[in-house]
Amino acid sequence: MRPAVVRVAGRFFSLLDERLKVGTEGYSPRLLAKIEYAGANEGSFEQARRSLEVLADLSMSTKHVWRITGRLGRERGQQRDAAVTAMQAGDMKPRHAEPPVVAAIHLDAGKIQLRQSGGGAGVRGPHWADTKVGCFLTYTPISGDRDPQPDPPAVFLDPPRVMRLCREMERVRSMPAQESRASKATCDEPLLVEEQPQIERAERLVRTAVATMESVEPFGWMVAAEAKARGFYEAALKAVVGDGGNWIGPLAEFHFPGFTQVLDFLHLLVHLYAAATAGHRGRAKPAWSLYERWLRWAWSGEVRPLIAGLQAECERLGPPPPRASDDDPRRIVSLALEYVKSNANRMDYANYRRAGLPITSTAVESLIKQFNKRVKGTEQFWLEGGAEAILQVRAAYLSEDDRVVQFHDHRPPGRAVGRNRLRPAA
Amino acid sequence: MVAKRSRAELARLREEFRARADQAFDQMFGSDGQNGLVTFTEREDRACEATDALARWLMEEHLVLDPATDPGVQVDCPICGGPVRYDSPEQAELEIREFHTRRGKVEYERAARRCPRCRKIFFPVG
Repeated sequence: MRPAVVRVAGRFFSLLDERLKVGTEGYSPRLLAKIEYAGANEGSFEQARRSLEVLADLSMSTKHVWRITGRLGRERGQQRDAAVTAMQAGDMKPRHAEPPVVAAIHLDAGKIQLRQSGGGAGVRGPHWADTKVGCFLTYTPISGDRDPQPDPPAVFLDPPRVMRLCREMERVRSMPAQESRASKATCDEPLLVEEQPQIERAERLVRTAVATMESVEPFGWMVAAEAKARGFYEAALKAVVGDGGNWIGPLAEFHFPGFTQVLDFLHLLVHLYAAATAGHRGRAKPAWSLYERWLRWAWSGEVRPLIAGLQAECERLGPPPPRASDDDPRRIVSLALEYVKSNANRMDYANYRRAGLPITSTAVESLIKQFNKRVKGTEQFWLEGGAEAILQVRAAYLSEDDRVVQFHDHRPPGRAVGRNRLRPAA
Repeated sequence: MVAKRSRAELARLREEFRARADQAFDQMFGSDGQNGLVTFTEREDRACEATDALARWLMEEHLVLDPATDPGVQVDCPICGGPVRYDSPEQAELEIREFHTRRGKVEYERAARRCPRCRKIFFPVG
């Protein structure tokens, strides 16, 4: 006879439940997976409840959907933390024997609305907080060693589309859900449609996601653990792509020393356009001409002339006064110069294209939008623990590997149902 | 672990399944091959109800057959490791667990034992 096992002091488990691989929730694992799917992918827990009722003939309360999704999210978070511990101990192994050829980690931050816990019903102390998101992508290698696109795409040289792109980027970055929704409603046409189909591009393969409310240091370890699990450290070509945020460079240098660091080209473009137009307000032609010259240098990775050009513009306008407003042209141009200087070693775009590495962080921007569909709404105010949990389940469903199924197939048993509540045996 | 039921019991179970399957067939076809079902929705609903009931029955009986549901007269306490002996398996209280599944609610029973030393209830496995 096999004895039962006490996992944690004070708790014990039914080995029959372990044998059946069932948890304590009163739902079969397949049904739990459906509840988690609805909780993670519908816009709200109420909508998830309705979907379960209609699509799975499962009647349950909104609160129950929320609790189960939260529990599974916390369990996924524990698994992630265990992977981090293994990574820190040097015990982490890649999931697959064959490493990817081209791999890129895209990093960025998003926004979420939190509220204070306690104090009864209603939202108290609402405030915005940062989420941190990592997008892990593998790509097919490209053939040859020539730059597949030496000239900038037409979209970056078309004034109305550049203006719209810059507006979109500012809106998405600067704020809340209703603004980005409003802008979406007015701009149906995709911005970055490429009109040059003959250009060879690296094909995107498998995406996985990591997201957290935690600070940069723990996030860095989460990113490292995921990269290790996916064999990114062993990839032939590997990059970290970011928008130049002051936390991304140090994170990449600490955790990914052998990786190529790439500055998102679109953020650079926004800075260059802002600087060129700020210095020539009301004079569209010279502004555009300056922008185009800078853009072409940037596109081909010619950082020195670009810095010299921005420097010259700074000198022409003069230094910004100490308390210059945000829209002061001298401040805008000076910030652009600072941005280019501090990211100069991440702008070798011609070589990145030759290698088949991505030069924009649109992948993580798009991923953040997909997170936002679930977590960021005008009426959504999360408690910090709840936000972390929903990010974990959302990340699992936005990942294109088998982690959703693997989790449910190997879910550890929870506390035994019926603990201490049966009458003593006679 | 050894299956608790004999070949004869399995045969009896098979008969019961067949009887239930017959019942499902009758619910669907009746005596005239249509049983009053006209629209596709009516047919679909009836077929799903009948087969869901069969699926639930299969799950429940399969769980009953699991040798872990009642491990016998003597088991070891998972906490202190000492023996917990009942004079007969029937003395062990059977706890009912309910599960929602994709085909509706199923129930199964598992034997609970109480260790007189640890004063803990546990659910051993055979």
